[in-house]
Amino acid sequence: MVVVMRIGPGMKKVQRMLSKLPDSIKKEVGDKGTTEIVKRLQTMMKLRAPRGTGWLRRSIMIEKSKKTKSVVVNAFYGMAVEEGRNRMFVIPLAYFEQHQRMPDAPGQPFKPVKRWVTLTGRAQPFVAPSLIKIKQEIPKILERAVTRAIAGASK
Amino acid sequence: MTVTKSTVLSNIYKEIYDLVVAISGFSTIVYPTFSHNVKDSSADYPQVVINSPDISWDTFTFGKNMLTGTIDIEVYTTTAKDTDVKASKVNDKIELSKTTLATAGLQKVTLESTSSDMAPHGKIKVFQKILTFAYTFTSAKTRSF
Repeated sequence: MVVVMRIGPGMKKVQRMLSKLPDSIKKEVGDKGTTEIVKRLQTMMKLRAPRGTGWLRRSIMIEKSKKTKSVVVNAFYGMAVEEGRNRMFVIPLAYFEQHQRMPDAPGQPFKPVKRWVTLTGRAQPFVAPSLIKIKQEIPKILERAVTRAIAGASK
Repeated sequence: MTVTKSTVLSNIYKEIYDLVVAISGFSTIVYPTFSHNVKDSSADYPQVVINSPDISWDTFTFGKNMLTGTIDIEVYTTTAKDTDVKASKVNDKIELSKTTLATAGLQKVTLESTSSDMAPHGKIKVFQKILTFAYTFTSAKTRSF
């Protein structure tokens, strides 16, 4: 039995789309999709971060390397806020030096602030709730990215 | 104000900003960033934050490039209903202003996605709604040969 397959004009379009698809997915999902995820996570963490001077909130930044994108809490006391301060926790001198080196207050001596986020000692989690929330949003973000990738490859 | 290749980032922001500020009741609540300082009183809200646009360039034709991008508009209030009402006003304003935006150079302006969130700030709860608008802009390619 002989089976004859004829490639019609539509198949050439499909072939062209499939050849463009890997680059399109790399761009839309690998680059833009992951960027949207980390930006959304950063927004969530900034919304939930307790406010005193605003330094903790300002220190939540996105760091990109060749292969990874990370949301980093640069504040020295970030972990103390997230998990709570117990009796054994000593706030290092670097914490005060960091505040003194704030870009928008250069050379200012350490001033008492109305509210310090670490003095209460209780945990004020802002990272864990954000991670729980972003897990719900990741599939939607990636679905949109894949749709854009397929649309881009079809052009 | 026309969006051109040389002023693409600033003018895209300005176009969207002008539209949102023109909405009734929005003239004093639009900001470029969410405040870092303590905002745990109901009197500090609502706030509308327009973030900087994100862009990427693609080849459109032999002689033209196409810019595709997104811009996020964040709405912060103290009740979920108020957040939806204000977000709806923003969306409606941009939807009705598509002709204005097209005249300025921004085409295919669409609401790409929305996202909701809530967090306690002191004694109040802050509700957040993020509207992501996508747009395209075409311009002539810069010849380098």
